[in-house]
Amino acid sequence: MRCHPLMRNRALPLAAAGLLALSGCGGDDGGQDTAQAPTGGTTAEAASCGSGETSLTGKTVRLVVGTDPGGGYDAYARMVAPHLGEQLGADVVVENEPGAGGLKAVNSLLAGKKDGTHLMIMNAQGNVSSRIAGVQGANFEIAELSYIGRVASEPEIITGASDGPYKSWDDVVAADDNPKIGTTGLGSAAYINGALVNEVFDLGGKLITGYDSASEAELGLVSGDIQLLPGNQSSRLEQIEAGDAIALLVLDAERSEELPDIPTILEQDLSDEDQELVEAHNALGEIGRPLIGPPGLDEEALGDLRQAMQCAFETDELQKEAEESGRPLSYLTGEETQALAEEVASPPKQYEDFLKKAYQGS
Amino acid sequence: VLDAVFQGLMLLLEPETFALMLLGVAIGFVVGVLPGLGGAVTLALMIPFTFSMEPAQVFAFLLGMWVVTSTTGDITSVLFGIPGESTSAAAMLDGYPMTRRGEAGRALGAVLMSSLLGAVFGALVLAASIPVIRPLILALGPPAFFALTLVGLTFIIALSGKNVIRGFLMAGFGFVIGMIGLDSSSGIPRYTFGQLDLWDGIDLVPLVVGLFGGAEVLQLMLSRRSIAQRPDAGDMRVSGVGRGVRDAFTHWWLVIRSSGIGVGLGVIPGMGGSVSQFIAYGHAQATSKNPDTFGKGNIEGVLAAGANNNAKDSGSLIPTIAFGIPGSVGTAVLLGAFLIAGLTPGKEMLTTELPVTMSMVWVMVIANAVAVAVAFVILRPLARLTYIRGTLLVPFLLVLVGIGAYSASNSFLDIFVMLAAAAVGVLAIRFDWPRVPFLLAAILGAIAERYLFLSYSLSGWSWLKDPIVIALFLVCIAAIARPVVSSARARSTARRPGGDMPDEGPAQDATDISAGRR
Repeated sequence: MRCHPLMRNRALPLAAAGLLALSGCGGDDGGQDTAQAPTGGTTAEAASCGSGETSLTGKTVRLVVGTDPGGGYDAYARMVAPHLGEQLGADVVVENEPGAGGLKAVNSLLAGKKDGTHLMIMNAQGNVSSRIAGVQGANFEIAELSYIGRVASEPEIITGASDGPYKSWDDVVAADDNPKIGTTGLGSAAYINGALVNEVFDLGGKLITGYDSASEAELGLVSGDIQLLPGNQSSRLEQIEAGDAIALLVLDAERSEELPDIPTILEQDLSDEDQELVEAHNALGEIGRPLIGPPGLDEEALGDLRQAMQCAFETDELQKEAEESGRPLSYLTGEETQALAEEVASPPKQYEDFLKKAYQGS
Repeated sequence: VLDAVFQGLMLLLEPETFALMLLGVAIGFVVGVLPGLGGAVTLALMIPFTFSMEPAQVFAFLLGMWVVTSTTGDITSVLFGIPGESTSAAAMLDGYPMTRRGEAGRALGAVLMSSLLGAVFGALVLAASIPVIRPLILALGPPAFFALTLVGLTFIIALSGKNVIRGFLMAGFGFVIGMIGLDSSSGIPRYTFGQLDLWDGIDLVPLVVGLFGGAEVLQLMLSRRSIAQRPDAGDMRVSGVGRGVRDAFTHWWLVIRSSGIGVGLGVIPGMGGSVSQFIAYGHAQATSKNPDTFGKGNIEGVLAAGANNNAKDSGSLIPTIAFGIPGSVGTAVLLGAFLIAGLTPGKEMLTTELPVTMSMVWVMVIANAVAVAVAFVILRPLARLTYIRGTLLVPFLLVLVGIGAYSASNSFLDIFVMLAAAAVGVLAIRFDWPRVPFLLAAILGAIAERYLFLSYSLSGWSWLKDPIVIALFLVCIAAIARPVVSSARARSTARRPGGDMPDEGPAQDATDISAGRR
């Protein structure tokens, strides 16, 4: 089974949704797929899965998470680590190094070892956009990081309360009510996405920045303090399934498999200028949650890591775990992820200006 | 509902489930005792092992482990003056001085019993609040939380003891420390000196570990004696455990109030256990008949901390169960595990899945009961460690303190924060400046500022008219006025020369402070 490398694999829906269609890349055909690796592999193609002998065999590889335990990045890292370790013949240990929205972990990665024993799972949208906006402390070159592969990429969605003023995105646009949009601070993903829809749809809304955590903002949504809450699909689905929130808009090019009835932002009536803004934004979201190493990572180690990650993502066990834990995978090879990053590194001027504004408030 | 309570117990009493809970308790016991390894991180590490378990087994194992860490963390706090968990810091404020007086048995008895009572109370509240849980949480918002933090800050007065000026200066210092980091509303870095490490502010764990644990270890190094003073030649039996247990019951009203504070603050996602322990402690001192002996080994301080820190776990489970919104880092990890196990928090947990919720309540009670029972068995050998000569014990304690500070967020900066805090702590002990007002201000100042901003940006100033807010403001005023009025009254009835003269309580204090010198 093959598919276009850039097509996202959203084929692993939440178990609760009851849809267990396993189509798309790296699905149910797992192990037999090793010979026909997805396109784009250069260094990785020669080796085969399960040989167990790599340049990292016997070593301890640190996989750093830029947040506290309990979040999506942490869950993904802990899910992937043992499988990656098995393929590498190494111990892959997950470490939390929270701080500055993940930038702290990126910076220690830049200063760390370049032999493949120091990796991280990056919050690409947050960290890359802070780089584009020129935030103090974001001193890395987007295209020079070593991309090992993309673990997952779910769309950002905009939600409202289930007993709130809106039943659909059309209601939001039609209402002339200056909605309050919850965010977890300037430059947070929620802020950027909230600011985007606020600008593109001219909502006249107010971005609320004082929430310390998504939990607080979620409570604020239920109690009616805020009317809109942007967030990552897999984390927002929890509140949607609990019956307290409804999805209103998907910030992506295609409709989401988990939310087939919710319109996307590109289905809306947008001016050419806004269209360009949204597309630049979507391209950034496309990088999702990649595994990365420092710039100048040892060539052999990078090749081994990319190969090992690819093999790990083809195993049935990892696919099954992802499905059971409601953490959908959407693997992309290192080369493909790198290509996405290079594309994003020089965004349209308009998007750069938008991000700068989103980090400084207005 | 009674049916669900019974079914919940049956779920837990399945042999395999119960065995897994015991395993969780065993792990949680060790994790709690060791500083550094926190409950939340351990939960994250254990999640892969739960993939093959049934839902009931998952939370019996994880919840059993997590709730026990709060209980056993207190043991380290009381015996060595190093918080075993960041939520166990308040337990050492009075527990450790008692150990140094040779009353480790009584302090441990009290802290363990009050922990158990706190856990039972928390579990009862959790069970009883089920019908009203959702409207109750939704009635509160950022304005009420802001007013609550102000109430917490008024305890600075009580915590300052006789040295109100010194207490306020320490609190001012604490506010400055609390300011460090990115301002949540405007994103402006404050006092970060270009250091990315400081963006998220000073972490509470190294601060607490240094200010109290580090300072005590340094004191111990200087004194070159054992932690506890040998009562008489050779007699090192640990006694008074039973007395400590009885203390928990004689002060039952204090235990209930402290548990109530724990549950109440545990519910609020932005507050959590690190905050509520000091508020409970401050409240105990503010309402005590002997506020002067707090920090010098007052059993009430130990009881308040112990009860609070177990009840708060139930509190943070309430929004997790009712809304799927975790109230703490620990419950955030738990929530992830619940979802993997196929449990969807939210309305269902309160209706069709009620037996599952009830079995969580049972886990809280039974896991804690088991842990406390085990702790009582091994408490004597543990307490005897405090009679080991300081020079032998200090290297181990230093390692524990270092790991404790570093592993909270794997940051080297935290080691320096801990050392600086230890230096401040030693100076504060030597020159009799109160440490708790500093800590309370450092924690609550930043939270108060954030809720104030949030309240204003959500609704302008109209939140000031909220009856809950007004009621809490009145509590603040009462809390401020009470000591002023009573001290004015005391001054008018019996004017004594040199207002700083210690009366009965602080006599103990003098020996304590200078212990290092002699």
